[in-house]
Amino acid sequence: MKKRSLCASCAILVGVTLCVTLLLAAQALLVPHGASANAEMRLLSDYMHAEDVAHDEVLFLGDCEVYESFSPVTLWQEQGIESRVIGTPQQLLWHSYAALCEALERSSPRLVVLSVYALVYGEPQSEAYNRMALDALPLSQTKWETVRASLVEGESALSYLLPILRYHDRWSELSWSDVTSLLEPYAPVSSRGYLVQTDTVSAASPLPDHEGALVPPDTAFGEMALDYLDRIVALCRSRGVSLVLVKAPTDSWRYPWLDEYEAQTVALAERYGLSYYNLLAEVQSIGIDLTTDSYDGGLHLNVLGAEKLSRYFGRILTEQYALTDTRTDAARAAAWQAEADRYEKMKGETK
Amino acid sequence: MKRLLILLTALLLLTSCASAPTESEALSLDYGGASVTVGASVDGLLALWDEDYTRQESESCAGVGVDYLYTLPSMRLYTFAPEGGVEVVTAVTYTDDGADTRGARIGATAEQVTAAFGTPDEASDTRLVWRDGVAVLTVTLRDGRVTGVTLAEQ
Repeated sequence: MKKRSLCASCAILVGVTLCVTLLLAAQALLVPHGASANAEMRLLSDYMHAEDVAHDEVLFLGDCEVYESFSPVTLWQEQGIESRVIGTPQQLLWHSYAALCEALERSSPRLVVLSVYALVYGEPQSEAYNRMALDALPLSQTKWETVRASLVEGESALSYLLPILRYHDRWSELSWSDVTSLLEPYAPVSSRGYLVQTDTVSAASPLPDHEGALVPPDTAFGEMALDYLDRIVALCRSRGVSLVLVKAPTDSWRYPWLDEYEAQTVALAERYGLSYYNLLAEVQSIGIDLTTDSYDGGLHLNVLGAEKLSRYFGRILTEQYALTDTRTDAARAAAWQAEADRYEKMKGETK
Repeated sequence: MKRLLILLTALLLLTSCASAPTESEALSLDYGGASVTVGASVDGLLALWDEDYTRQESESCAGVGVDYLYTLPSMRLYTFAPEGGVEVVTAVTYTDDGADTRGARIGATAEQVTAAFGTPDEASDTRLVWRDGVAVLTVTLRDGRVTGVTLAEQ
């Protein structure tokens, strides 16, 4: 009797294990990855698969204003700064908070550079961008709380715990490459979080502007954004990490940086005692010319613009913060040379 | 049975109250003979207006769609086309007094605007706001005169 009961228990255990394994395998297959996900969808996965994060001294957080503006390779080559960009499309401040919590579990940066554009968004915007900011994060209390805070109409929090609930209907879209990409070593799409853009599509004028922008009736930063900025400030303080606010040197009718936003940001920086760099005001000092330095008609920088900006901002970071120049460290130099080689290849290959 | 019928009727009424505004209730701005509402397809509007316009586009991050800005005489039209989807109006704003909706134009008085759109949901010396559950109409004022008229997604 005892023996039969033990065998039955074993059989159940094996059965449950098999079911869970199959479920997880199906989930890995169905969640967009590899060739089925575009580069921007994979940025956070790049970070989660990165292996040498322990050396990160500077982390950039934010949306395309960071992941298409700051080149870690350039920062290292020019100033020896070890940095990484943890950016995702339309990363909102609650997404940034969750990413920062994860990053501080994996590394001990000296400085976090936070893009301020997300202050404009006081509430959740889109499931697509939620997924890009959250799906790749491992399960944690912070992730769960961020998911709950981020949900838009029609979304289910449970689908973030079990993504198969969201992506189950992708069965019909699967191809052989979805299977093979799971078996191959992970191939990052970015250079330490910087998405290389090599195209040049000239803007109408060399300087950014937001002519034609729709000015919202209420330009005050929303409470949710302010609450999460507060949490980010507190988290950095508790970990002894310096925090710097930055506005990238981009401005457009679609993503305008209004005077009202600038005034509020300056006030926030003052309130928290933070340094704030409005790089939009320094466009000419940086040397940016949107007729040559943009890949989309002035909305975002291409690699030429990002390198100019990185050289400029790197000098500021070196002058203001006690960062380590690791260019003379043989092991780090070798690691960065490998990254720089990959970066140069991306510059040659990227459309 | 009677109670059940009353309950069902109440539920039906509640449902109809919570649904999207009907065509006649939806906030709109007039332009070139057309009544423009948020969410309306752009198809046909530009052909109807038959005016010169410029179009700028801004691709959304990660290719989820494309935003467009049409600049016409007296008006700017903002639209969004999700990937694989239909391009629809997301906002419209008057840029000068060459466009109006039943007399509500830039330069009009607050009274003229209220006569055109009815009692606002919010009112102050600087702003009048109407909402229909889908869109928000905002009229900005200075010294009792309209300085801006914008209809946008809520």
